[in-house]
Amino acid sequence: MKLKSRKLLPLIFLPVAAIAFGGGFWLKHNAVSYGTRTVAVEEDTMGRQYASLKPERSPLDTFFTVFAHLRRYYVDEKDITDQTKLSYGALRGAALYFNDPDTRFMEPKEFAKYRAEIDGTFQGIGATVAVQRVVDPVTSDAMRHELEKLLDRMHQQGEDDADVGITANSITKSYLAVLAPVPGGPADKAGLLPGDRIEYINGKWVLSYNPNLDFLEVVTAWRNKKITRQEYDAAFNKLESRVNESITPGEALELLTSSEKPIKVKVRRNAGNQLVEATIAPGKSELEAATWSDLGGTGYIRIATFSDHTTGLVRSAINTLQSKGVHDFVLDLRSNSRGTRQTMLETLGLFLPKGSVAQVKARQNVDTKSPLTIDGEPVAKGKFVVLVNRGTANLAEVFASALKERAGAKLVGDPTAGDPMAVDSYELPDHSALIYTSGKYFTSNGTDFGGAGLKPDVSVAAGKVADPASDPAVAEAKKVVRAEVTG
Amino acid sequence: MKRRGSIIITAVLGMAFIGSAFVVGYSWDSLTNPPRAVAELREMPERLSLVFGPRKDTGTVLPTVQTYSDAMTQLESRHYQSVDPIKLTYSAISGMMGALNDPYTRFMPPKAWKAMEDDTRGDYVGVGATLDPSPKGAIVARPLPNSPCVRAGIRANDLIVTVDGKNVAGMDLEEIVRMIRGEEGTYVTIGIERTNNSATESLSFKLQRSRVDLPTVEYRVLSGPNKIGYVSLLQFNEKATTMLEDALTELEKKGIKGLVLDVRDNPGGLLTQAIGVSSLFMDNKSVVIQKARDGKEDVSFSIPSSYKPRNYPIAVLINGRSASASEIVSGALRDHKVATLVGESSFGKGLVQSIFPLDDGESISITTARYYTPNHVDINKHKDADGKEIKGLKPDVEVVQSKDYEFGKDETDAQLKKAVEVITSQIGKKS
Repeated sequence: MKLKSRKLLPLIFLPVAAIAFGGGFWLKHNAVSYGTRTVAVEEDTMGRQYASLKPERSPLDTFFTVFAHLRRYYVDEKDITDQTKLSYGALRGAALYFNDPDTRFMEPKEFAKYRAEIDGTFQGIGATVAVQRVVDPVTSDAMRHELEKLLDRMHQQGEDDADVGITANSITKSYLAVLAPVPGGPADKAGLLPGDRIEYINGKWVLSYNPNLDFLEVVTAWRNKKITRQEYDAAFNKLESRVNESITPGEALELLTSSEKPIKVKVRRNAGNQLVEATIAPGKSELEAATWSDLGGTGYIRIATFSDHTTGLVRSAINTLQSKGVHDFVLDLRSNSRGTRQTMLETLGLFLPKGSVAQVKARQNVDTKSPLTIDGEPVAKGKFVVLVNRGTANLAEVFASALKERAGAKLVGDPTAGDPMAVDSYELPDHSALIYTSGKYFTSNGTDFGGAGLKPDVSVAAGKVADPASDPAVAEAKKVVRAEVTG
Repeated sequence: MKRRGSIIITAVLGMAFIGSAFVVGYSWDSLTNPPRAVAELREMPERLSLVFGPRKDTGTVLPTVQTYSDAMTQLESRHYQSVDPIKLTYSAISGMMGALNDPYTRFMPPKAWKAMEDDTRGDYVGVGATLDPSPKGAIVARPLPNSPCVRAGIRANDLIVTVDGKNVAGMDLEEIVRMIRGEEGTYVTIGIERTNNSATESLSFKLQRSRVDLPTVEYRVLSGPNKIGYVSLLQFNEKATTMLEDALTELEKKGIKGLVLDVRDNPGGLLTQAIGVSSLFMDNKSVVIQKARDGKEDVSFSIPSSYKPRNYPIAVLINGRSASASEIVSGALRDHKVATLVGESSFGKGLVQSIFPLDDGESISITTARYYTPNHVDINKHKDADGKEIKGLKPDVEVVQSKDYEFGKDETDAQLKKAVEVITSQIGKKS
């Protein structure tokens, strides 16, 4: 059962496995035999033996002890000599503790990919992919009753319900979703849009939440005579084969970012009833950090990622456009989902005077928020409109909200991704890394944009980023900013 | 719907965890003398550099303890969520142990351990049947002799759909068992669906819970021309050797000309009993080899005083649920050419665990040695002549069970039939 790459796979699978394993070999702890060293030990005698081994220890001591035991006793010495492998396992386990999609361990290869994406280089399908968590309220009493029983059983097994996203009143499901496709990249060409939930890959279901819940729903329906026995059998068998043939989100992610063969996906768009099918021809794709053009007197600047080059490119774009007499700007932040906080703030400083641009909360259970500030004088002068979509995520949402709140910029497009969690990385000497949630962003006036995202002032379908000269969303944004100037 | 392997609900029998008791080894040494390595580590972190080398010289190797220690400090101080260092460490330990990819090397949290202990205390009794899981409830795999089940007329392959009026579809087997169990003398009503040919009838039984022991040994002379004895060994408990010996004596008095030793579905038990049982058939021969980390072989020999020549052919019946001690006996009897193995490949539980307790009731289980048959076949898994990986022991004569097999009906038991055939062909060739 034990540990695969489970970055996206919440601990929900553990209790299932634990139950399956329950009654395993280790239970017979009061019968003792070890070759010629066989000793029959009474349980309480054993207890005393145990007690003698129980000095006060820190958690770290416990870790040392387990490590030392493994090093000394584990049957395959070659598996134990690789300390890096054990370290990876430990860090992966530590990350799982948080039950947080943004806290995960990345091996060097994976971390290199992660950093390349910030710089705009993508492999595979050419899109950032994220875990979306959706909390479904439980509406039926029967289901609530079943969930209470399930939780009871988990508690008896020593499992923590926080790990599985279940309470008697809600079920948290995690979906693998396309966050931001690279314009012109494989996913974009195949027609995928930001926010598409990837439910099937190459015909296999992406196991993004505890499948037991689906079983529970079917069983509950039958127990309460909502469906017939035949319907129950059919539903049950269908679920079973779907689960048996599924792939984990970790495997899915690996496939999406490194496959060289065509990938068939089925996605759910806008939580609709229909699945949309697409075939993606994977390959390398590049995202230009920033591009610009002159839309007949209105400046268009697209910021695709906050990488090292972004600030310089945007600065020269502003300068060139202003030298042509432009003083209204469409800032296109669509499908911008990666970057560093430092670059985002520097770039924002080109548009806003010094002061607070957002607030950050560093600890979940502490109410204090501290302001995130920029320094210096802006370069761009004039009116701004910000173009956003469901791929406008995290730092880009901070950027857009700051322009809205500090400079009165209107947001045009779709609602944003609603991802306010600040993510830091802790890099290890071998270039593996722990990625972890280090805080939560709020807008400069303290608004929480988690979940729902930022609502556009002017709604227009803006999923696909196209050539600005012919992109209807850009045209709409231009109209809005022109109206500001003339009005 | 395929069956996922029988779970013998020993709890039903009021005898806890026979069904799940694989041979568990304990290193007595390690329990009484805390390993020196640990003692050294207790002086952390001052000794870190001594034990693991200086921090800067690690190159790309990540020293485990150092790496975890640093990461924990980082996460405790910087993570958005507040950290419970103990739980974080448990999770990291699970991860570290999981990296070894051995399901038996694992971390056991305190509550899980406690729940199992409560279960094993077992003042609960049941109705006397072993059950298989089914999405529709539970399937009666084997009703036990003289149990409330059998007295009431419950049969193998009956599908339990309700317990005390409650629908049990979709429940875990463990949960169904918990519902069936209760105090001795109390009653439980079980709803059954029984399929005969294609007709399904619904039946209801009110049963009084009582103590039922899982039999250790069942034996009889099979019907047929050749007087072949049959012994089923269901578990390797303290009485296994004695009871098997008595059974053999009885069968031999009746003049059997061959023997089927059935360890199908036998999940194992005590290693001493595996040696005892093997000793009934072998004179001072190696039974099993344990190989630990240092590569040193610890050979267990049969007990000469137990041996009696058995002048008849023997077949051992195994299947995918024959594990651990069952595999040790099967391997020994085959390697010393005492018996032919018939049936399906065995489970492949050839690993010895030691259990080490930690602080607050949590403990760790570590695989410390492997079992090999006398001919050095790794019981857990090994490669055959074609380089194909095999889990467990492969029978000499492979035969899958027939689809309409029903426990207790020999005419439906394809594996038993094959064993009889094998023995029959050997009668007279051995003296």
